[in-house]
Amino acid sequence: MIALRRFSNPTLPSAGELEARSQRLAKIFQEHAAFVWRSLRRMGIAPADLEDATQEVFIVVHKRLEQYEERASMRSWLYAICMRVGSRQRRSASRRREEVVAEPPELVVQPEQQVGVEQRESLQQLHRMLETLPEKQRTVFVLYEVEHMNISEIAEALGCPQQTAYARLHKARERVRIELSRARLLGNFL
Amino acid sequence: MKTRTTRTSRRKPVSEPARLSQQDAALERAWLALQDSQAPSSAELERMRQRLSIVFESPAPQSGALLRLARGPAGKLLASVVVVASAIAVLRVPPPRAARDVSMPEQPLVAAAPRETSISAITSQVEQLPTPAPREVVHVPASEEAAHAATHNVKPRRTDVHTHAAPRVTEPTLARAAVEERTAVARALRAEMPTDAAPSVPGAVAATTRAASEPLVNAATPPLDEATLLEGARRLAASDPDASLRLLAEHKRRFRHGMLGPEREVLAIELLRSLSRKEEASVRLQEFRREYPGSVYSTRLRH
Repeated sequence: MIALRRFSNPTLPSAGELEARSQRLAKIFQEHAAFVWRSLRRMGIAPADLEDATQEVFIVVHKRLEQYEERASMRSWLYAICMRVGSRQRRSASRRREEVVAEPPELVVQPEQQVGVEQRESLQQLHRMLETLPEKQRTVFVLYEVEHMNISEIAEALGCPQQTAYARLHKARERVRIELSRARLLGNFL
Repeated sequence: MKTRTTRTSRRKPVSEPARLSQQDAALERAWLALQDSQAPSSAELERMRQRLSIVFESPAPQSGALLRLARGPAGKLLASVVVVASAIAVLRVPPPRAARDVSMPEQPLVAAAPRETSISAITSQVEQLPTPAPREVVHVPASEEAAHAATHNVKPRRTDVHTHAAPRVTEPTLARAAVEERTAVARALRAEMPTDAAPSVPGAVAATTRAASEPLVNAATPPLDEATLLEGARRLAASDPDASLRLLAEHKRRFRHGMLGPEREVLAIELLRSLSRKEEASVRLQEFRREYPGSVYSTRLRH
């Protein structure tokens, strides 16, 4: 079947090429699915929609794999796709839902992760701390500190100059340091 | 030409600060917990993997021939031609007069002092700097410009004025005034700062514990920021309450209305209470209530 189609259209890939491509895609999925999921989640995608959104990102990857140039970092590229898919998903979600969720969804802890009450509290404290940051600063901060991406990768993912990314990171770090010591000075945080 | 220089400067790698969690094991654990709490479950992952594997096996949809052409080398060439042409068009438009005259005297300052140096480094640099040096710095581009104008026998282009901002500041008095001002600032800083300034927290803390009579400036040299100062005070609270109180006083002097002002007061009041200095504690509590009415710490300080 593929051979026939290939005969009529010589630009179509051969069976071997297809196989190699699907294996490469599977590998990308395996390595980066959790990163994509987390990123979408931080962009405010509702937990119920995360599965759809993650799949959508990888369908875009499947369509555009040839346009991805090796010089760019895979995670930067994926994050840029996440931003586009995320904003589309949020738009359609807000149209679909009847009730508007004013508050960001409560931190949902998976039942399989037996997290102690203490740790859950400190996680919520961490969330509150991150929420004090303006959105752009928070994005850069989380990508740098939590996801361990480089400044250049972050700048590429967000489509901004490195200096901008660095300035946001700097401001966010200052603020987090203040918040951290505030929590530690008077409580038993972390 | 100009577009190329701006692009390379943008690509210049930015030095990356060490991650906060590198020095902080508790924070590292917290980040990992955060990652875990936001991760998909293994069931969700498996479900997505199975569905996507069917998608991955199909060939990628072919994009249109025009799109492919635009993404090919010919398209890139066309795009770069457009970019260069528009850049030339922009450069030919003379910048407004006001924009050219802005902030000229600041030029030698920027050239002499890098942004990220500590104050002591700046002061030493400033003092080593001979007074006529900035005048030379100022004059070099000017003479270059003159030579350029002489050899080419043309008026200097407007864009040149924009890039070499320094030639405007040809009056030596201006440069000398800037240098004098900086030396004065440096002297003032030097006066405030002892020579054996301790840059790190443990050093600073050791400096305060060394002798009670020593001036407190030791503990709070300019590099110490608000948070570090208070954390030092908290750490010393149990072992050396006097040093801790001095650090708190230092914080109050330097960051009276800082972001951690309420925290400083709570620490001080609790420390005074633990030392049975009830009078001082209650005075400070009243001050606290006046300064931060409706603070979340009010209930904590009630008993």
